[in-house]
Amino acid sequence: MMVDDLARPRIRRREASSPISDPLVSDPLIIDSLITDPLITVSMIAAIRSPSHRHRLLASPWVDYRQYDRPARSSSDARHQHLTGLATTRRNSDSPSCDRTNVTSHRAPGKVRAHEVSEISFKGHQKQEEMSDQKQEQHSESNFLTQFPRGQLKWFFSILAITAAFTVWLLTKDAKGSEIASILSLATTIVSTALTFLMFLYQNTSKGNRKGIPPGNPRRTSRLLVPLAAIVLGAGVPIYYWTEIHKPNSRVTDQMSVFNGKAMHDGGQATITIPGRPPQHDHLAIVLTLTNHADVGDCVRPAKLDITPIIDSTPVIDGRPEQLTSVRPGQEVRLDLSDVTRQAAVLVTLDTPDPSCRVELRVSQAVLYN
Amino acid sequence: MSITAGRTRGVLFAALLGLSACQVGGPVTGSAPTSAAPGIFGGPVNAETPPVNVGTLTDQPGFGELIPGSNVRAGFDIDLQRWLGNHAPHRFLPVHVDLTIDDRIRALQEDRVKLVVATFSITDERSKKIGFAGPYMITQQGVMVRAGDDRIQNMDDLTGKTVCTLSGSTSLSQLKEGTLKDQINVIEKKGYKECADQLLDRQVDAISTEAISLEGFAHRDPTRLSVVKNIRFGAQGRFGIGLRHGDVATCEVMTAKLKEFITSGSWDIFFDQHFPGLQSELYKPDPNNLNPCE
Repeated sequence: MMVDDLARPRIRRREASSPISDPLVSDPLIIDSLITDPLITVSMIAAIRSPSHRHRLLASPWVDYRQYDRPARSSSDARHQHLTGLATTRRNSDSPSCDRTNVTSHRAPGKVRAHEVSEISFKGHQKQEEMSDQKQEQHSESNFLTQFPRGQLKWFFSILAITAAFTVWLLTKDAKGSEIASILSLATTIVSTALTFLMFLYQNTSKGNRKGIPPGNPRRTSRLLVPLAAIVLGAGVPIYYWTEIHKPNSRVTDQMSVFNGKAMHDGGQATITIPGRPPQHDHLAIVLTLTNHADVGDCVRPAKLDITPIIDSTPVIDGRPEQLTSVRPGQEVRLDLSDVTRQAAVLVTLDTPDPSCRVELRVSQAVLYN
Repeated sequence: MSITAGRTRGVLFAALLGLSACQVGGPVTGSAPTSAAPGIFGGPVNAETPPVNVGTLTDQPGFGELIPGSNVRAGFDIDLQRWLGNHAPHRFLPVHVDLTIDDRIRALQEDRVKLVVATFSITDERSKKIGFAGPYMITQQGVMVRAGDDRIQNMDDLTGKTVCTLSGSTSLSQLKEGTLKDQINVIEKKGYKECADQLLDRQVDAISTEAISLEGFAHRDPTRLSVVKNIRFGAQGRFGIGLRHGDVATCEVMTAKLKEFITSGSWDIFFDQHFPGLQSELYKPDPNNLNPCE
């Protein structure tokens, strides 16, 4: 191993103009946005994808709507039409002719009264239809299951892949991902709300053209669960990994305690304790700032801060004690805490050209991350 | 609409979302913007030596003095302005704009001048309003008395005395808030000459400002004025070039040129010319440790 390699500290510095950009992540914000954004996004894709001229603006792409455009052929549709007609008839049942009409239409032999014949006939017909309906439902369910791998599985995995990829991409962007998610959520929320509103308007104005659409179709509901399941899986698995296994970055700025940092002078030392015994993450990104409370003195800009991590009460960097690195105020420094077994701290030594300077050391930003 | 068309639209929409995300991803770094204002030396210049307004003083011997009756300017700051005009990446002709001590920040903020080279001490407080490149001179606060007046030999002798200084200067802040707070009577004047006149007229006991500035006066009139050698106090006076706030590009150019100015030997030549007999090492900044531009 080269001497240079030995001397290379495990502290990394970043430019002062870019104070902590990567590890300063607001994970809750990202996850909050991630939970809403993919749902909205995919629902928009589904909404736009479905044929709008058939009054299905926000309908699911998993529903075969062509069946509703055909004349009612299934027992369910027939029953629906029959019941609709019956209801209409019953609403007019005050008229005796209506009863006669029913008797005539369901005539039965023997002593049975005409209206009883009609009722029996209707009940029998209803029973037959219910049995037929159950068969049809079973047939329909089997169709759904058999068609799922061919048509819907493709959509399921497409949405799963898109959602998961988008979620992972946003998570890896850290703070930037949070901002992207926030910005996108506004646009998608506005557009999806507008589309929803338009859909309802369109549905209300085209009721007469959709006699074949049954309200609350169970197949439609069940098929809506497919994209929902894809979204939940696509977003949920990465979020679970990020929060439970990888562990999100932890902003600990307010938990950093600074000792002897109120009025530092040239050569003065302050100690900053890192929360956690040991810290729950492997790295710390920290930005330190100086404040000159006096009206005079050029103290902050020319100052340098010598940083020495103290691992388990011992100033150590890469196994070599008493090594340090210098950063400017406002410049990010990253410390390796992976070897901490009990407690970690940071020793800061002020180096300023003007010995008369008195400055206050503050922790501007601190994030524990893996 | 066919299923294929609907699907295509969905894919296009997803692609647009991705594109917009990429577009949004660029500027949202959370980091502060760098130079917003174009630097006065950064862009192409049509004229070979375009004029640039530079704020300067007229009544400070050694740094910036307009010699009465001759319209000739002389001093370390004047020479530095000319040197910068000749050595900047795009040469410029410094047009001297007369300023008072109290008017330097306002002149920059109102864009009356692009640069101020006028014994302008860099402070953290001022850096919130304007920019600085430098320092090109380092000094400390001192005291000047009438020649032969030995009543004031050290800091304790100042107690109860009347001291003149300049309004709007760091010297005033140090007299009012430093170790001499409430121990002396402070008289504020707008210019150095007024203070010197009051001292010579025995209306004040001493003048207090940056020691190197006092040396210029004493060098000009050694028979009547004298700098107290044992008195140096307060924060360092680190003279810098005043710039518009946020003009990082110009700051970087000026800082690089100041480094060249110091290392090339020009600094020593001008210092010896205007402050003969003084030890330059006491006032010369480290060229490798100039302030970073932010």
